[in-house]
Amino acid sequence: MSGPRWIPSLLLITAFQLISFAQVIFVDDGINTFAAIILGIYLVIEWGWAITSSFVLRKSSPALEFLAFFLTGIGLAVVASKGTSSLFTQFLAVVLGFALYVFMLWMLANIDRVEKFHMPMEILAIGLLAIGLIFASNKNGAYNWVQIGGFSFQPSEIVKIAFIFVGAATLEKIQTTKHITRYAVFAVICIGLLFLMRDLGTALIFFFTFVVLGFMRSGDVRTILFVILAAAMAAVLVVLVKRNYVMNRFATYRHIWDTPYGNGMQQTRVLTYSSSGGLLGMGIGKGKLRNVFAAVEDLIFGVVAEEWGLLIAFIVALSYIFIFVHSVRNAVGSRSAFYSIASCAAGSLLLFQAALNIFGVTDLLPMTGVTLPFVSRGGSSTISCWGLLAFIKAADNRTWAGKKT
Amino acid sequence: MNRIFKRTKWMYFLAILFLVGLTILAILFGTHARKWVMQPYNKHIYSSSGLVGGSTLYDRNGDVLVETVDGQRKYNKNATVRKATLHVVGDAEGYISTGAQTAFASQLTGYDLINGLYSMKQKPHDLTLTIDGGLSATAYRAMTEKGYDKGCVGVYNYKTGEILAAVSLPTYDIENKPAIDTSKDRWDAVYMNRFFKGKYTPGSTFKVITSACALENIDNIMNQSFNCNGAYTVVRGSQVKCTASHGRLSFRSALNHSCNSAFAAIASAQLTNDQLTATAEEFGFNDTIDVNGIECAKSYFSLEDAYAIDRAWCGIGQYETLVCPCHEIAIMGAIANKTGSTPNPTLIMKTVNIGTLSYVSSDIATQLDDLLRSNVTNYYSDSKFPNLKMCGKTGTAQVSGKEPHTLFAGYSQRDDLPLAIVVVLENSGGYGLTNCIPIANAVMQDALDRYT
Amino acid sequence: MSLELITAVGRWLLPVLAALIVISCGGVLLRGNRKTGTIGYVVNAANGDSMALRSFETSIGRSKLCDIVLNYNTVSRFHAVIARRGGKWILFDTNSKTGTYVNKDRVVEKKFLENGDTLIFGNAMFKFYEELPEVIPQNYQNAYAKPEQNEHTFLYDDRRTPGDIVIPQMVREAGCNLENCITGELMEIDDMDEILIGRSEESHIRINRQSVSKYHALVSRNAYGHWVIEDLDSVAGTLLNGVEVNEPTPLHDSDIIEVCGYTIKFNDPR
Repeated sequence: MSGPRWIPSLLLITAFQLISFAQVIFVDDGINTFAAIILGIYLVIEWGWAITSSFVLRKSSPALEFLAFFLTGIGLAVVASKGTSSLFTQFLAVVLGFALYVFMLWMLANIDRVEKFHMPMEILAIGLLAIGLIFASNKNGAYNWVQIGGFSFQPSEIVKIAFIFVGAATLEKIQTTKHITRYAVFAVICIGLLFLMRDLGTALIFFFTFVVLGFMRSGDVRTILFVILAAAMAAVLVVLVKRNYVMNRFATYRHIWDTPYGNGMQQTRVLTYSSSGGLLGMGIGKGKLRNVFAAVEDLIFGVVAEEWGLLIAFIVALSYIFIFVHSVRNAVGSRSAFYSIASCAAGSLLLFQAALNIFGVTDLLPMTGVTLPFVSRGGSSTISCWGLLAFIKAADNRTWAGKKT
Repeated sequence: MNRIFKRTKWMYFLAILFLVGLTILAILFGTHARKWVMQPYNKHIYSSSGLVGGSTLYDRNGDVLVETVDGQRKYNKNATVRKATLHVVGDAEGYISTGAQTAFASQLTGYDLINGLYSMKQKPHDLTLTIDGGLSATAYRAMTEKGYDKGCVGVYNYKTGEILAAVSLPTYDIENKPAIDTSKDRWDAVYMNRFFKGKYTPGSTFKVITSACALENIDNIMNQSFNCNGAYTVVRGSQVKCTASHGRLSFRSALNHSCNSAFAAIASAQLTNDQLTATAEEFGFNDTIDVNGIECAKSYFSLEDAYAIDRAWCGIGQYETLVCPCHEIAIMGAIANKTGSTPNPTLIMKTVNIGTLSYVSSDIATQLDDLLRSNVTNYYSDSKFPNLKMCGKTGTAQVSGKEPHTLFAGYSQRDDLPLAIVVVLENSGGYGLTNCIPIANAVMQDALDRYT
Repeated sequence: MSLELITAVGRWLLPVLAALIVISCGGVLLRGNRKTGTIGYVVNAANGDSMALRSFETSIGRSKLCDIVLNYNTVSRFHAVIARRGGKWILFDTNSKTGTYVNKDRVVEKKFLENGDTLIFGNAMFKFYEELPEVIPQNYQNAYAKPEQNEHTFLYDDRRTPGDIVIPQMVREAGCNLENCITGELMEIDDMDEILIGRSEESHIRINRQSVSKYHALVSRNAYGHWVIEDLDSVAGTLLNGVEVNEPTPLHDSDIIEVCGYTIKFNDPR
């Protein structure tokens, strides 16, 4: 029985979102009705899910969803303050992402069903990436966008879910050696395709996830070190062959102040405007970073820091640690190795992506142009994050409270 | 599955790495935020027309040095004041790094770590500088009317530490900015405030330091006498020339007449490298002065591995020694106070806790004060400085390949006019007595009119 | 104006709320899964060791990476997995060389388990229980557990009656049995024709002492169906009610058979 213990948390979230949304809705020349409706619906979804999951579906405490709702709400408010046109698409992505979350919870409930999805997922992943490679259009030097009709999406984001789905396995599957070689081949194909797309950030995320999956499956530190070493050697080889391309990409790393009007522009702007906001921020919509290229996608950590304050930006960063630690805690005592491995992998993927983003835009790591999970604007990314969250929730035994285990 | 459960323990390592990263980031923000904010591209602070938020800079008399009118940065109405205060007020674009609009951006914006620039948006932060626009204009006129195009004049209150003027040439009218080609000699280092950032060979003004060293280390120096026949030979073949054959001189008259022979003799024969270095560093050489965050140029002194002839040149201020005008004026202040210490120079009115620069013992300072006063009474003549009770020392600094710089550093002993002044004229030729003293007098007379 | 107010208040309030949100949600998230507890047992038939199943999937094999390590040559490195799925227990054979059996049936890929099923990996035999039964373990422990007690207890051979080790069959009308005088445990003998007592492994009543001969004594039915005891030329000899048995001697209710100090009582309710 989760009981109504989640109500204080949700009330806090509601208060937080009412105050932040109000700064978006009340604009200088009146009320932004459209934003008010969209953000209102968002609040209804939050309460609806909390009530449904605890009273109807009798699932465990919805704290994990709450944290995701909290992050998504910040992203929605930023997007809404940026412009109503992108708010609708972003909101649509949130709804789709949440629908995917609920669907995946249902699908993951039965391990036999999961087994049936294994092969289709493999085909889906490689297929999507292949389609991506063939039909992709160039955006900022990476060929990772596919334009279909009026919609554009990033196949690599959706493939993240399939990648973990295929990589995780029940204990009896892990014990058959055939399985791991097959997965290694699958992973190499996926990461290779991403390299061909020049989507370096996502390729890194996939590789990292592959290492986590490999470690969780085998527990073999030597093999993992070998894999990392091999990858490092491959990376060196790539650097030697495509020297100029790589050098250009990383030339600015740790040298952003040499070129504040050139390649170091995005990072220097993030640092300057994040600092300008101080701990408490300039007020939502009052920032200047939002006018820099890719502000609400890659640089959104800086926008949040500037407008909402460094405190909230760091609290956002800490949320990823909580989600991650939860994914690891859930991995212990879950109902199957599949859930344990998938949960750890999804949690580390989200944490790693958050790290690449946050430390990338602040020049602690090279900037790779990945999104901040749940917060950044971007349909595919938002949907993918919610899908990944389902893996973490599924590992929670209490998710299935009331069902026979 | 227990094996898999145990593996999860390793995963916490990732969380720790992430936390370490966040901690580093937090520390970086804590230490660098102020620097990161004050960037010329920060649109919270600067727009294309200058500081956003309309902060106003006043001079000590409440006259506007710069303000924002209709979104445009407007400077003082008087073109001469604009030119005279250019380097102190600075420009909105940040070319003049020591200008108040750049150097004091954090004070002007009211930046603090908690609120960031939020409070600036609410109300403009104004700043009153210690500069006197009128006095600066007088200094500017005094220099330019004589045709000097490079150099600086600084005026400093040795009781309060306030800098009343810091005029640097070349300068320009910021409201009518000319085309500037910094590669041309005419615009050489035009964006540098020479008072804070200039480094000059001190020439004879350094004899003050040599005198201090002699007073500290040679017991009977005041009773010694020196014979000047137009030059002092350290060893055969290497000699230091004097400006004249002064004949027999006491120590006091040697300083009054700025006799190179006598000072070369004292430095090379009676003082050691270590003693001179100790005194110079006591007086703040090889150290910098911080003026409200503006870091002045570091005055340089070294006698490492120096021979007697080097020491002789050093004694008359012609060796490798370099001095910053702001530092020179602080030395004057320390002597004028007769305590050996002086308030740290400041540019912002009502600065609290400005600190003290302590250079020398009050005993030595009192003796130097007496010597510097005798320079005027015995040599330059009080008629050059009517009603001022002026003390000081001139200097001529030889520069290779060009006309020498001339310098004057001095102060008034009047209790109602506790001002020190430094005048530096680059490549002016001639002597400090003829070049700098009239300018110093013109500025000090104006100050006398204004403040008494 | 109101917008300015919202911003001015919000910038102080939002960080506080955000911190409270993360603390209140994060607190729940840090707790993680409840302990699974013991959800089943696998009991080693060779030594009576019972191994608790504390997770929903348990790997069995010779490799140290397995949850239950079976150090037998006949067991593969990764032999099998016992899993609980949707309230049912499943035994998976993970490509083992020697095969996995449930109640003599070979497991092809997987097989559902019932409480009390016998599992054989290679030649290692186990019993599977969802909960340790009350009755059986007591006999079990008397009979099998703790090797150091072997000299005081009977060791019933399980080879001839795999799957039902202690009590061969339910009591029949006669209700004749042999009683271990030390522990009081009973061995029903109605459906048996002969009971071998000795040190050898095929003994029905095995007394693992050096002084006991491999084939020490035999309790069997004579032509009339009466139980008789005879000594099988043992070194130490057999006593019946304190008298040495030299020839097949009929047994009566409450007779005491003594083998090297170990006493067995013959009960005949009739």
